[in-house]
Amino acid sequence: MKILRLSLFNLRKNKREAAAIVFLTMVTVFLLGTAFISITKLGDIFNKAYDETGCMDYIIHFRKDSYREVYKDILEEEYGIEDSVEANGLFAIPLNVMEKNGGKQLHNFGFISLETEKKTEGFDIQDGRSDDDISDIEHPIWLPYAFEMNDGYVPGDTYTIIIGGRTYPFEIAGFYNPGCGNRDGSAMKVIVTDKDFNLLSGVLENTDILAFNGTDDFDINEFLHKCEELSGENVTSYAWVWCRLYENLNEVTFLQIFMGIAAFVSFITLASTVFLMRHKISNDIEDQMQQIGVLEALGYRSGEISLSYIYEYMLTAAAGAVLGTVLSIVFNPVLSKIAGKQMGRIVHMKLNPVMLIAVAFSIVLLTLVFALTKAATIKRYPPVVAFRKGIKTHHFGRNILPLEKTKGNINTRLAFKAFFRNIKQNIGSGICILLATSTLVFGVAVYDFFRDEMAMLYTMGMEVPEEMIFLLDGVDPYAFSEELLELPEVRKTLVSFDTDGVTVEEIGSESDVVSYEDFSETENIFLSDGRYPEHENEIGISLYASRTYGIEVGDSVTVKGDGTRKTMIVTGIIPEASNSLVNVYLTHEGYLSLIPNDTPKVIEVYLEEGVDRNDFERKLYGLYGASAAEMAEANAEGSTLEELIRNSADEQMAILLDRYGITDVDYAIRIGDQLITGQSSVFRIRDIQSTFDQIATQVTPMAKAVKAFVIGMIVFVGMIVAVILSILSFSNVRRQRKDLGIMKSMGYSSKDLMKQLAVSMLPSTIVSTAAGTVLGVLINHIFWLSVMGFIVRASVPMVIATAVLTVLFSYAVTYFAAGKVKKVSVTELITE
Amino acid sequence: MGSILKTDKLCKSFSNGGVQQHVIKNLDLEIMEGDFTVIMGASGSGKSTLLYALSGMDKPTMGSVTFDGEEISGKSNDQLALFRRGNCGFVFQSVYLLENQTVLDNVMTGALIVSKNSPELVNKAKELLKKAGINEKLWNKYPSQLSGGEAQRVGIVRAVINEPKILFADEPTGQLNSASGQEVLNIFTEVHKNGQSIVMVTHDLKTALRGTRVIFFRDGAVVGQYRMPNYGTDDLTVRRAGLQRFLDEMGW
Repeated sequence: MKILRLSLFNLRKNKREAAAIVFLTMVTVFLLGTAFISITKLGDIFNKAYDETGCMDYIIHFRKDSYREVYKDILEEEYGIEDSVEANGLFAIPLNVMEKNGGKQLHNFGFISLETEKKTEGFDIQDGRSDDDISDIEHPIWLPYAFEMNDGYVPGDTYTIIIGGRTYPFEIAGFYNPGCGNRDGSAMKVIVTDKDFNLLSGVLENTDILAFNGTDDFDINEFLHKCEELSGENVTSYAWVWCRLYENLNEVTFLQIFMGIAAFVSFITLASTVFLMRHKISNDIEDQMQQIGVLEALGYRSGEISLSYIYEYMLTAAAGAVLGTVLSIVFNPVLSKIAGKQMGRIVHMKLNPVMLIAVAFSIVLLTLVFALTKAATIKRYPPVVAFRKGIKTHHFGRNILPLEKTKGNINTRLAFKAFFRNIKQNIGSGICILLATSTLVFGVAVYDFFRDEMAMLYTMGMEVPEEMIFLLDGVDPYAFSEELLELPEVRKTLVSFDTDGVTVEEIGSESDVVSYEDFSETENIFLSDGRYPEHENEIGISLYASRTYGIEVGDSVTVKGDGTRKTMIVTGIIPEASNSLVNVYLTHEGYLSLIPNDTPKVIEVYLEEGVDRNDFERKLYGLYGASAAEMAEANAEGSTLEELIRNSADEQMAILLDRYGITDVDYAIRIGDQLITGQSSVFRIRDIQSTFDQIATQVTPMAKAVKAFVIGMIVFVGMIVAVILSILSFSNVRRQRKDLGIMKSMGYSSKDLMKQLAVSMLPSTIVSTAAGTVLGVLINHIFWLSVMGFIVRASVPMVIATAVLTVLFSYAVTYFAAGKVKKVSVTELITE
Repeated sequence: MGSILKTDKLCKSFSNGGVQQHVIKNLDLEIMEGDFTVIMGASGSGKSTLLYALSGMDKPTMGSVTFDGEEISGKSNDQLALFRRGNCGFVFQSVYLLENQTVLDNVMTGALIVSKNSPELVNKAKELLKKAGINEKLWNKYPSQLSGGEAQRVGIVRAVINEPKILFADEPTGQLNSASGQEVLNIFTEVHKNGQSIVMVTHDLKTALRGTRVIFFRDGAVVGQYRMPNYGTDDLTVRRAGLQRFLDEMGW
């Protein structure tokens, strides 16, 4: 009973330390519990949500001319899949959409008809107009629920898509929960009526759909290869796949990564908890040495006295674990909401009480083991030693930094002496700060990467010109490029292809092609190894592909294009961050050797600094007439009959050029004696797109989520650092109360002593911050490379600033926490 | 010989369970420069409280303390710390040496807060230690390796290294055996001979004999005082008898 009273006395005496341990244990259990539940359950949650939609496992869009009915036979004969459905679809990658505020967005879309939707999934409507209302809507459209959840659309809103410059206004009839086709990266699945589907099929890429449920041993890549072997055609390059597996990876992986980071942070809190416990036990034993001696003299065994400390930490750790578990339960709905928002669907994360209790129990057990090992040191103090206040207060060691050799400030000298004296404590706090700093640096690097869309884009292994001009067929890109270069706003132009995909056999899946005549002119494609491709038979591959498939510089790979198959030498490895992570890099010659019938149709325009993109677009329209896309959208207007006729004729020509692949149009119109003539050569531009718009669509929501997560993580880690250092500082004041009083009597002011206490922890803070910074940079490097397949270089100034701020923050925390020294009075020396 | 320390209606009270306890009551006292003032009184009479109020270690509840013409009672804690640096030295009843520092470092910790380090300062510290009977072998020892007397002598050296205008001592021999106590008192006598002003609290007759002025304190007020010549300049028996008589009169 006396032992338990000693525990309770210790708890009451050091409320602040006890509260810190409760807080850290609570956070550890909360983070670890939540992370475990999320990591292990997200897959199940996704599968459950997917199952609820009734969506088939695979919906493959074959380009209209590349689908063969035998593919269905392969499914039946080789995989025993007999429930396949054939249908028609439309694909548009990318497509402009009018934003609610009037701006433009680029989305990747796959359109299917209402009839096809009902055949391929359950059409699980979450929110929508009534059937009566829908029958009155001329052009209803059903969008994935993510549009309502994340973009704020509501049923009844107008949703206008722009195809070839022409606007197609739809009215949102409702939102449904899709199985697949729920991410912009793999194209969002939108549903229109059969009538509108037919209308759109005239202006969008038509596809044949083969939808089916897979079996356990079904492999989509194997299936596509079998289709390819059977038909002798390049199937993989011309098939878009929506499937459960890819959807799962797209929706869940990112969340799992961040939950992994949360788990890592929980290890920091765990390390901090253990460190604080051991530190506190050490201090308590030192403080209560004489009491321990008395208890031992009374016949208590050292094991029994050690137990008093274990009771104490059993109480604090258990309190923290209970609070952490409660917090996990309370936070669960919020977590469900966050996960749902990120996945773009309604999800319900079920609590796993067994796992939560197991996590809480493990943490308590672990902390107790660490506490026990420290508390067991009591047996080193038999009564006589304990009465003499143990060996701790007796110093016989070497005098480090003797004061007679002081140069400079005495406070600094005394602080450094204290640093060496408390080396064990400093190593412990150093480890905590090291872990915390590495997390901070990693967090800041991630934040910096997502800070703005362009910053993210610049690391992604693709060019980011301000404008991409898509030319009409027949326009000479090189001549037009030269003409554009004459404009003062234009800094540089590069001619490129609107490329088709190719398949590198060693990789297995289709790769997007990045092709330039001379890669040395590019500004955002960096090599991690080798050199750029320079000749027809040379290829650059992505870093991810290199690591994943073991392809090195100097290896030969077989590349399949449009009916061609060619061996190429890998000359360079390029980090990149496309959706597939397996882009390939080819010279124009190389690309044309694989896709012989293609022609360069894109001019990438780099503008001078300070040039406004919209102003430049307006200038282009002024110089070259509106683009075919713009003209096709415009309504013919004019003040005179001739103007009206010319404008009307231009509009018709634009439609022919833009939508039907016609290259030249001449017209002559006679009105009485007047002959009005014209020709299509005035049109050169099919469309102008900006990479910015597409990035904004795909990256902005993700960047926002990541930034919010990272800011939370940084604040949280900062709090942990603050808790550890302030507790250490407090306990240093408590432990050295007498010495501090003596020094005050000599004339040392509170500020002098606060400075000493803060500076005494500074060397370990600096060293551990430096080591943590290096570790953080390494983690950042390894994280992006292993998880995403590309390199994100942490900004050196940002990293240095983080390290400096961490040190300053740590110093400020220890300095102000040491303010407790103000309460130390010299008069205490009389009363002792 | 002018006044170095003066109190004007000095009051100090403590709250004890809601009840105010007046420890020092309206005290007007003057300490003269070069005096070895001994404050005596029964336990609980307020001697130590007076010592700490005089030295600026504790703030009075009312009234003022003027040190060398400068009022110190209104100063903040940090201002008082700065004031103590050059002006005051302290020797406590308990051996309050910094346990983690060697003998020489303990002395240097006191010295370096006032002066910049120099070979002269280090030599001065070593000389003072030698004079206090702390030989070279002990300079790098830690307090726990010293006897009580040795530790207290180091404490005195630390207190006088900055040549303070006044040296305060609170029962400096209270925890020492007779022989050690005498050694410590000899040092006090020695520094006083060199012109050091000293204010010492004690309840020991032998210790009080070292003073030149004995103030008797009772219930927070000075009830009597007794003057003596410098120690060693008169007959010790006569000195003892005189002081004993005074103390008897005071009801000690």
